[in-house]
Amino acid sequence: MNHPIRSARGDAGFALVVVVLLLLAGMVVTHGLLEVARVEHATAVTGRDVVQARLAARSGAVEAVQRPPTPARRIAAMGSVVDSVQNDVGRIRTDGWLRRLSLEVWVAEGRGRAGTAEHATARAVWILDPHARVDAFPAVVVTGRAGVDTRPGGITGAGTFTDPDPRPPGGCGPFEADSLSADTLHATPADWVVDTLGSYTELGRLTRSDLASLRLDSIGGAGTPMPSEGLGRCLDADPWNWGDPLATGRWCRARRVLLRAPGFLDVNGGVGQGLLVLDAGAVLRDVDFFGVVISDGPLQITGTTTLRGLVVAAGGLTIEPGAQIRGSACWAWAALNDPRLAVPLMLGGAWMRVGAR
Amino acid sequence: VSRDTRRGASLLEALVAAVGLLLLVTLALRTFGDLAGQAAAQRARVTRLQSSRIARSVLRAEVAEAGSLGGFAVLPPDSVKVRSFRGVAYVCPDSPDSVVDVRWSGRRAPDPGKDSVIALLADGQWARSNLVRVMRSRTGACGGGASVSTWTLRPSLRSPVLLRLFEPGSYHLSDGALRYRSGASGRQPLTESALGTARFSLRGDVVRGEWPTLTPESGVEWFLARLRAPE
Repeated sequence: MNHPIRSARGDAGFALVVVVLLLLAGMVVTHGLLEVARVEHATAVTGRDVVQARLAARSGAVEAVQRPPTPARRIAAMGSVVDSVQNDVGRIRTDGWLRRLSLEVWVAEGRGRAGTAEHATARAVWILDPHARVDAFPAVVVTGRAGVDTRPGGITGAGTFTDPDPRPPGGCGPFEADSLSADTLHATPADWVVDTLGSYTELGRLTRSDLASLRLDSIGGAGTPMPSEGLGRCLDADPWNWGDPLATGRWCRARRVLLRAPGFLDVNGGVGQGLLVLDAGAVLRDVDFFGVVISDGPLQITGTTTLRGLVVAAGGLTIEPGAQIRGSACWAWAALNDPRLAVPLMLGGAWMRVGAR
Repeated sequence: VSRDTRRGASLLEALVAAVGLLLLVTLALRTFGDLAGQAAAQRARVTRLQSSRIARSVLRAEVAEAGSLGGFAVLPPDSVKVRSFRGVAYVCPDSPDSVVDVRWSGRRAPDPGKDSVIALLADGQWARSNLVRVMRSRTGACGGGASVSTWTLRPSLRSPVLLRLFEPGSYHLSDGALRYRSGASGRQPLTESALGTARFSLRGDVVRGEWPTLTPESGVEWFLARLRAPE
């Protein structure tokens, strides 16, 4: 009788068949396990890509916010995009930019891509606009509980926002004479505002702590601001070099300062232009200053001092005979029209998902 | 092998074989039982982890998007009312204040029946209004396109530049599941009933949700979301 399965040598058995069947079964199981692993891996990769895309989008928006301020922000049209950033790291792409929605409201938008995953996000930010800020202020503001002590003859010409002469070296921008209007310049004589609510103490959303974080140049003690020049250039390192807008043909004519005085400041004579933030008040004696002065402490103006621009006094204001404040939208605008102040500040509200993907 | 040389042992062999088979079957049944139990426990664990993860991610996102603008209320122990963020719209230039042309994007189409807006005004302030009507946009607004439409807001807002679209809703931790209730409609489960006894609480500006972990000795799982955290 012949056995149904024989080897080449004629031995009976079915080990080969069993082994082949076992191998087939093993292959089926292995294939199933590999398929499960492949699906799990694809799921994990997709999840990873989604998270990476979202983080890349946020990173793009944050990078756009953190870019150093550029002059392009000052002249950007509504709806336009500036300060774009783009990064490609391996398979992750990051884009970010700032989009202007109004004079001072922008959104920082970011788009991230990781593999096939995409995410777009946005965050509302605020950037100081000198035109809007000057427009929001009456000429001179005395804010808080302290009042103003204006002795006879001490406020000649004060309180108007219509005195651009002499003009800043760079002109008056939107406040040029041919575009002046009573509405935008608050041209009413004696336009002093006593603001008991204290709502004028900040530059819009730019708070004192924000100003501190900008690392404004620090100044303190007593001194006389004078232009300092040498080797054919204006010496910016001199803390008491505040520029001189009236010195035609001089290197320091266009120099403007952004100064913060943490202690009481005693200024004797001299000239300067820019933004002066006084934490503890100051006495200004025989000084010609052009720009914006914001004081938390008592501010005393004596001698022949003339301040042209915008003054915000939160700790009381004393103007002695001979000194004067000449409200000027033009000079205030020129002082605030500094790219260093065009820093985006995150507004309330969480990240917004934009673009329906 | 001749018939004469064979020696009979069939009964003994059958008994040994039967005992061996019985042992094998018993062992196999026990092993399969253990495996089935472990598989069921593993499925429950996976379901639990998925539910926990879904609850954390959904709640954290919703709280972050609504809480920073004040659209949030905790009703301990099991409910959280939120304004659920559903989209964002940029206002086209030169739009009047009450009827605005917008270019919007979001998770679903705007629904005047239940949506409200929190608007960012030109001066940087936030203001609230209601969406009462959505129409096709006038020709040419915002360059046209399918995502451009005209929204009627009431009350009208002064110089809105950006609108965030929200719907009223509430999240509930009940019967071991996270459920969402949109407006006055019924609660829809977002997870399996795997979270056990869960609850919400509010400490300061931090909302906390917690539910038991898989093993009692490990305490509770929880998520935290700060309502006014600058991101």
